[in-house]
Amino acid sequence: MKSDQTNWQDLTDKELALALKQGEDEAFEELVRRHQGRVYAVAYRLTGNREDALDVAQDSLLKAYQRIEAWQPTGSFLPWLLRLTTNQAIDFLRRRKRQRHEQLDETFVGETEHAPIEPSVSDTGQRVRAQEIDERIREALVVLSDTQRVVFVLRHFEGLQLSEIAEELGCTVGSVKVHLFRALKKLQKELGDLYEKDSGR
Amino acid sequence: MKKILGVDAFTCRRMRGLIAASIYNDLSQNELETLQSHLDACPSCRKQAAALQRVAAFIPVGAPVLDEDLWPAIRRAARRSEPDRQLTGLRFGWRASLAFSLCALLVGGFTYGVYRSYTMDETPVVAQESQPLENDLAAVAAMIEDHDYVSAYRRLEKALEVNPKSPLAGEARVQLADLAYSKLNWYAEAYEAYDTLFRENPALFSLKSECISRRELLDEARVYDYAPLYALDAARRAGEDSFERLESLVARYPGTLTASLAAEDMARQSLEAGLPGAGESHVAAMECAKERCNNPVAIARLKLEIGHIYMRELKDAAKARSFYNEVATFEDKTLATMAEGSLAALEGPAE
Repeated sequence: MKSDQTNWQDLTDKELALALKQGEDEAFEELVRRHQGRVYAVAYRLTGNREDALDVAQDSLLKAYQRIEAWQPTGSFLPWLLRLTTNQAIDFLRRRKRQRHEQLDETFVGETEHAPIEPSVSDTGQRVRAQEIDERIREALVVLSDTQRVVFVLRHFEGLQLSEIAEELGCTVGSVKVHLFRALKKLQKELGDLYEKDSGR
Repeated sequence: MKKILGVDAFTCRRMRGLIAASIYNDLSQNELETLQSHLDACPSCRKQAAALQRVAAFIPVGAPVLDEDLWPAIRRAARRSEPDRQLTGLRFGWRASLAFSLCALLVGGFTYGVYRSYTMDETPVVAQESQPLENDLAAVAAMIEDHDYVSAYRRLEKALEVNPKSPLAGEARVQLADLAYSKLNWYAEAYEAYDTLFRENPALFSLKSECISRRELLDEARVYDYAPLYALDAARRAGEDSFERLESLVARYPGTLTASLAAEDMARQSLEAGLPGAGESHVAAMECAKERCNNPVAIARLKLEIGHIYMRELKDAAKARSFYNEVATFEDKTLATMAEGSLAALEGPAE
């Protein structure tokens, strides 16, 4: 039962999620404050800009609240939340892609085909280079299939165990490993020119 | 029994998942040994593993930093979109208890009214109306003491719905607005509450300088959906990164009153950090904060603040003018216009 004196900050994620399931909405505020940074980070990596990431993060957290009944106490809360975020981001990317196709087909094609990046020569070269790399990585992530992207983002950026990801995706760990391999292969192909250049310089 | 693995294409394909998992050290001991045996015998997979290791190492894992608190927007969105499942004590359980409380209040009020009509007909109507809000304010004071600000807010909100014309309504509105602003950081609600106070209780509003300045601040911030204020909250909670977050906020919203609050926070942090000279005066602390900044827009905004301190606190028009002049030629049009406005005020006829 709710207590006005409940110190939500002292509870674990699982306790908070259970409390939310039982109708304690204040538990959700603590979950949001605790995980909004990671949700935003995942959203940012997948959408590539602050404004879209804020929208996706907000929608994802809202969806977590609305769908808390679907969360199973046998699993962890964070992988569930991040999985929900990646789904939300993927839906967003699909909508964005469709809108761009509808609006200006060539624009989208132009954005997914990369000219080789020339080395920067100015004093701020390193900074510019870092921005270019960030941009290329975001674009490379878009090339991955949905599942590959989810697996890669959750493992590489969020540090989730492959078994946790498998649990969330409802597939075997072996299958997650294969998705991860394919993701890395595609990223190697998309980004190889960047780090070959870096190592050559 | 340990398998001897060959280097045929089928085996290589089976190793792919293990190679990927090994990059993240996510293999069991058995799997690791299996993979190692294969890699020792297969130059192609060894090359593949090294290539994937390189791409993984190339992609930085540093997380993009969230520079604002999403909670207020989520709470608002939930309240708009999900009438059956609303946040912060608005769900069925709470509503049921609220309904019960309101019923109790109404029944109590009715009974009390009937009792009064029989026993105290001469009592002024005002006294009858003020009684419920008195009780509410007392209950709210206890809730605030217990740091239960959400319940206090809800109690006041509902009590004001029932007794909007009570003589104590103004006081209740001040409390409601203050709770929303300073305890809950519910800025949309805070603006609404200060604005209602301004419209319904103008005399009381005009006596409260804090209410006036907060309404002005909120009125400006609502243009940005209160993002500057949420960013300020996030920056204040950011611990070691606080100064950088404040600087970023000032650079993002340089022309706002929130930027001025952030600049004051930056000066205070410089003072608390014990930076040389920062403790000498307000202007020295602001100078120290300016020196710590890297962003040119933030630097210009802090120069403007220094100009204001010289003009308003130290009455040193010459110094103020020199800072305003610097900002007036700055490339950011918002700040340049503000500085020109301050220069015009300086040069204007003295009252």
